[in-house]
Amino acid sequence: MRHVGEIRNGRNAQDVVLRALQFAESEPKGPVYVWAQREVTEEHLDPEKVSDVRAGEVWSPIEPIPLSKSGPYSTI
Amino acid sequence: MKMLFDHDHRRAVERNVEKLRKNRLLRLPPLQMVPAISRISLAVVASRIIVCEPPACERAFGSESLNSASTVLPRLLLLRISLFHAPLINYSLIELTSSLPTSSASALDPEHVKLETTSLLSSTMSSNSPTEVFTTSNVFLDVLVKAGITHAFVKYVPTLSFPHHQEPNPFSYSLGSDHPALLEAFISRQKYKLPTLKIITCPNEVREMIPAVSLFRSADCVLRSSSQMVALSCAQGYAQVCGKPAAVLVHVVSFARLVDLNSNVEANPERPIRIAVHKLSQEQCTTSRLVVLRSSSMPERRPSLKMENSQDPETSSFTGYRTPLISPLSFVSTCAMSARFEMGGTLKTSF
Repeated sequence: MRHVGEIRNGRNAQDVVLRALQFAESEPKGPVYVWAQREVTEEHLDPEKVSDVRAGEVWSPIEPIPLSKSGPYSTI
Repeated sequence: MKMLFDHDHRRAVERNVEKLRKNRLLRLPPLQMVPAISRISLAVVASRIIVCEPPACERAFGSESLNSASTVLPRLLLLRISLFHAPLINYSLIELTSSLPTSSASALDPEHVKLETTSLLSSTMSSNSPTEVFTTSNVFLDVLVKAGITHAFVKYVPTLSFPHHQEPNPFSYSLGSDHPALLEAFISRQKYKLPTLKIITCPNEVREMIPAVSLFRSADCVLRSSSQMVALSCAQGYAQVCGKPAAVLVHVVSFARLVDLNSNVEANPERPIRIAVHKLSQEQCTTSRLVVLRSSSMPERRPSLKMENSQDPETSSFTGYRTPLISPLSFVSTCAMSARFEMGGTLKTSF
């Protein structure tokens, strides 16, 4: 298990899920576990007030590290 | 489906239950009643309801006829709710139509029959139209879709049999009764034609799911095996093939096995996983596609999967599961591991 997260209220549900997915998709990739209590999943929210966390943009997994300065010379 | 997911409706039912509890007719902890009651209320269409304890039921009808009551008494609809088989909630609910033969009605021992009421739920059935609610589950599903997850592998939970159910819905069979809000969220997305997760039902108990196969007409495919943790294995295979994360909806009771399987998965990331896909004819199975996934990383512990497709759904009946009293909704995402895999057969599913 790469990461375990709990959704404790509706306001940060998106962040918890996206953070977990970040862990899942970053190297080393692996399973993550997110859980929520039933009461939390039934919490009433105002659809207008759900913040836009830009799920597809800012929550990308860790990108590969570029070569160091000496990298090109050592690989040639 | 509307009535099932209505919070107001559920509250009204709860009030009724509370009333019954005060009169010592129904001694149930109110919290655990909620999901069960909301499911009951959907199915209750008759005007007379008898609530009694299972031993009383079985004494009255016999355990055999309890299961096949709908064949013995054509007008009797029998509901066995899985939550009612949990240790503290050990009740069965028998629903009788008004034209029940008097002989069978008198067969019920009045000492054990706790309640017979004519309009337990009729007032709630005619209450206001369902109101939609927006819950954390809506946000949860929304963010999964936005994050690019397209498939959810869901453990099959035989919560309830609907002998008179006209339109089987994968949600009502594949998701448990312990996360009704998530069911609502799924239905809501379907209703507004929003992109949603494709549910892939993964029954893990062959005995339990056999009668349900014919009901999965609208499910995308049915994955079956006699082992536990089918859903997680499938999601892992999916992630390895596609390189995309997949979602698994599990119950908390599965968590221990899940961790166990995960440790195996992580310990042997280089082991190949073989995926074989078979296509069945329409006559063999009402679901046209079946996927069998077998990982060779645990050959001795994971039984080889076998497809059975000629079971008669009429002859079997559901039996209840023991469910945890409060079981959190869990969500697991597996992601591609650096593993080799080999494909057997032709991958025909729309992964």
